[in-house]
Amino acid sequence: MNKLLFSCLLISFGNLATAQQKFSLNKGQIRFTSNASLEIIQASSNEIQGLLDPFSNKFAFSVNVHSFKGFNSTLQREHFNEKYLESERFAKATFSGKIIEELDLKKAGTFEIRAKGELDIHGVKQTRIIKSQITINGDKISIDTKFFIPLSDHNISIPQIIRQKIATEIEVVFTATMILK
Amino acid sequence: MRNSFVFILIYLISHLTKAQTPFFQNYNLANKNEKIEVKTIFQDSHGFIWAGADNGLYRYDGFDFLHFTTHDSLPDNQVTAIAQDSLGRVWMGHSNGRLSYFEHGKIKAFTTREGLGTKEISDIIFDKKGVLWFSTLNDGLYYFIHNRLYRLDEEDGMPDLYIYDLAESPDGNIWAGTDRGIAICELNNDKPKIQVVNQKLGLPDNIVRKIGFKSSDSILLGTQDSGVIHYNPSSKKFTSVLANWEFGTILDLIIKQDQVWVSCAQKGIVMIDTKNSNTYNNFFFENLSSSLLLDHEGNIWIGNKSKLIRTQGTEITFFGKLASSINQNIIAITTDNEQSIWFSNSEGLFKIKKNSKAEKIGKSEFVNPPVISLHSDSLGNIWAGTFGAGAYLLNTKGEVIRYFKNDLRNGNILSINSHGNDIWFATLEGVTQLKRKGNSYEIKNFGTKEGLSSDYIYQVFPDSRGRVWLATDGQDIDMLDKEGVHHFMTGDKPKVIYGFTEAGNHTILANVQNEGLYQLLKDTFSPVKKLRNNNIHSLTVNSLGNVVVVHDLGVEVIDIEKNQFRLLGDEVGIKEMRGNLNSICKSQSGEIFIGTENGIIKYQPSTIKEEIEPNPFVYQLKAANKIFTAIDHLVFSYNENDIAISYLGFWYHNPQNLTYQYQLENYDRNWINSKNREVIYSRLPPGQYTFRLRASDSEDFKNAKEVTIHFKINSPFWQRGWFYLLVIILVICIGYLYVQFKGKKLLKERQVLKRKVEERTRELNTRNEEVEAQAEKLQAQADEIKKINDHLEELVKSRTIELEKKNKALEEYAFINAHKLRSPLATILGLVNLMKRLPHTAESKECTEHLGKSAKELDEVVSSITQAIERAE
Repeated sequence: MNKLLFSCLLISFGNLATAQQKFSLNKGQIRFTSNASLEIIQASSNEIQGLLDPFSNKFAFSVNVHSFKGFNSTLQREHFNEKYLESERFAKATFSGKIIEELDLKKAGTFEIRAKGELDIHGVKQTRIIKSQITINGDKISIDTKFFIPLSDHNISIPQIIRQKIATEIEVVFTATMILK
Repeated sequence: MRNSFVFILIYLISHLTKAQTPFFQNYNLANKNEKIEVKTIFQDSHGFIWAGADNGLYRYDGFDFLHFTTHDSLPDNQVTAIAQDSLGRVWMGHSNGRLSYFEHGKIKAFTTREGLGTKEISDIIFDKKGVLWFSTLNDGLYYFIHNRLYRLDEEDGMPDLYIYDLAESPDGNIWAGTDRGIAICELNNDKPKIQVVNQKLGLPDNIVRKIGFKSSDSILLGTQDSGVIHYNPSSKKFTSVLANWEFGTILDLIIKQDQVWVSCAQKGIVMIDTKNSNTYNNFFFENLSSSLLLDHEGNIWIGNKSKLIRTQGTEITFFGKLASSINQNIIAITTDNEQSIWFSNSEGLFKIKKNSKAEKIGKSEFVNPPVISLHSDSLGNIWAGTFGAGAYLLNTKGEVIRYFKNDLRNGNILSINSHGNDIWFATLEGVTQLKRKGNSYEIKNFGTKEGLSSDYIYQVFPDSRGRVWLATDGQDIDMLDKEGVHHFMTGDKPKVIYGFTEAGNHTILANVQNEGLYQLLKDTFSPVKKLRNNNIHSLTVNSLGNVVVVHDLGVEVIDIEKNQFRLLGDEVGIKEMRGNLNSICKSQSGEIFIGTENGIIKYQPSTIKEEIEPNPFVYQLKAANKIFTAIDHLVFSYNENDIAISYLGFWYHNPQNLTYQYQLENYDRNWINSKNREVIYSRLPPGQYTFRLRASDSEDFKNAKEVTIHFKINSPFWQRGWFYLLVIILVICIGYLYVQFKGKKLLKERQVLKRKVEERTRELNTRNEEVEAQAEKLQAQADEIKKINDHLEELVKSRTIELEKKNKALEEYAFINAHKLRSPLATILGLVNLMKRLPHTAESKECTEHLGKSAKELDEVVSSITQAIERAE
């Protein structure tokens, strides 16, 4: 269902694109860090899709959950995909919504903005406001943001025994470059 | 370019006052370990508090919580918005986009021909014209007018579909706080017009989560990241109410006169006092939810996860731990003109500067003996009186300017007071007056030697007219004025007086040991009745001129002129906080500080002018096992006359303390006082009734609000007019029918009779004829008989004559027989007898005897003939 929605959103943006130009994700990275008392786990992915409509200031981003690499061991990655994120069932994590601030994406400069939307991870949607830094340089936009995801928000439960190895809140750093197409 | 937000600081400095907290009362909605979230709180026009939670709807009346869920036809257990329409129905919005309303004890779903959305309802409002508006999270704004539902979205000019809050402006427009600014919606001839206030116009934060109107020109906005913003639509200016907002996202805000109460996601409740240089208090609460409510009594309700929290506000606040190590038993207290609080305890003298913790003054000089009296004079200096070692004069820095001991008659300074340049000490050897002259003091002592009634003086009190009142230990009251010493009695026996104050109307009041408050009326002190407790620890007067009395039950505020009493006790958290004797002071800004055995109480007089009184409410009527919740103008039948009336008073301050007074007009002769919340009337006679109810928390019903309900018990049908009429009609009908029937019957009978009469007449006629014939016959016979009779008479006559002739012959014969025949015979018989005596031969004798026998036989024959004749006669 979520996938469907997201696809719809992308398609609708795609259709609109025939009439109006959109910013499309050129290059991006999502990196997460679990900073628990006994272990630090990091992983990242580059398999990100994203669109930003400069007229409505609406956006949609999606990442393939299975594509996260890094981790401290292959077993860890396996657990990440099979036990916690269940990437077979919930293949994509998405964030779609709007930019709160009245931002003119044609004007160059660096701005602090708040992106509000639905963060869909592990099949659980949460309305989130995420602060980001956005740098506009002509047809190119750079996005730089850091936020935290409480695992409990998305129904991801960690067994008691490894609580000290996995943080309850995961730090996420997202950087992307988008180009007007 | 980003719109620059002009950060104008009208309120330049914001002060933080730490650790002064009001009392918070908790009302648990959930069981232990059960997690629920109160999403919205609302008070309806009656006074019920409604709480929308994620497990249903709660209704609270001060006594009981009612819980409604989907089992009670609630469309969804997540209740996210509550409002009330002009008909009194309470409306609920749900997280699934549904709406429902509560009417006459039942929940009904709201449906429209157009259907409803599926996104959470964030707010509901009924505007002045009665139009229903409701906002949604991400589905725009809806309004319902003329039975049609309309939706406002971006195409209509809405800045965003995600709407947090709705508010109606004084001019009737609907303001919606959205993710992208404020949408001001106006309905002109039912057509919407939307105006947007956003970052482009200078709004510091586009996410407006809450809108509160102070007036049409003063609007407070609660924002996501920029705190509380003041907006003036006329000047189009935005100002931050509290600079450097550090409390995170605002979930809700309410305006209580000059205070703004804000609930914040991270830091709990922030109370901003906009009157007092925008000072603020932060009361931390965990798990705060978005909801706040200001109720009709002025209480602030806070929604939490699992409970409701109520506070009466900051009228009474408590200084938390002054410092963990400091003894909380406050012996004496005063404030200086720098708004610092000075207090003493067994550990010495301390000063609390505004916004900081208590600091100790001096070294050991204020410890043993301890400071038992403190006073701040007109120059701003602090006087500290000790128990045995005289008095110190200190500047506000805490440096000792002067020390008085040897000049004093007695070094036990029980209280210090001043009036202009006169400083007064109450000591154990009378009073001492210190007259300030430049830098020196002229000292004068007054004791029993100078005419006082006692040397033991608890307090000296200079009043506004220059008189000085002295509270003696067991000798009533002395007063010093220009003319000398005057003595005032409080009754027959002299009493211990602890202190005085002067009310706003210049009445002098005295604290009499164990007997409470006395007031000076003309020349005598008489008791002030109605005070809830007579063990007064301290007293003063507040900035409104009301007397403030600290006693065993709390702080009682008295309007002497109006004779009104208001107790701030358990309900504001003053419980077992015994005040210390005369440990009270008033700051320059009108705050009153009370020293108790358990710390300091701050009392800030409420600026609410109108008296708040409990709201009486009749919520249920029971008759003939039927329960009625729509209760006015009910009509019962004659046999439904056992009526139970259930009522309550809305008084969230202290519902248990309420006393009710009721009267059933047409039945009860007088008002009846009761603590119960139900009254039962059995076998009420038919009639019209009015039930009147009042509630008071002081048992004084003079200013109490009243509520009335009317009901009627019908007479039985046989006692009603229509029945009488019916009976009369029936009787008339029956009479008529009877008469008709009788008439007919008579007619019939007459006819029958007539027929019979005719028949009989005919019969009679024939008989008459017969009789006539017979009569004729009889006449003939009679004539004939007469003829016979006439003849018979003649015959009888002749026969009688004949018989009479025969009778005469017989009589003659009888006479002859009896007399003429009998006499010869009697002679014969005599002769026979004579012959018998003669000598006889046999034959002659025989012959004589035969002759005698024959003569006898003849005599018998004659006799029998005579007898036969006599018999015949």
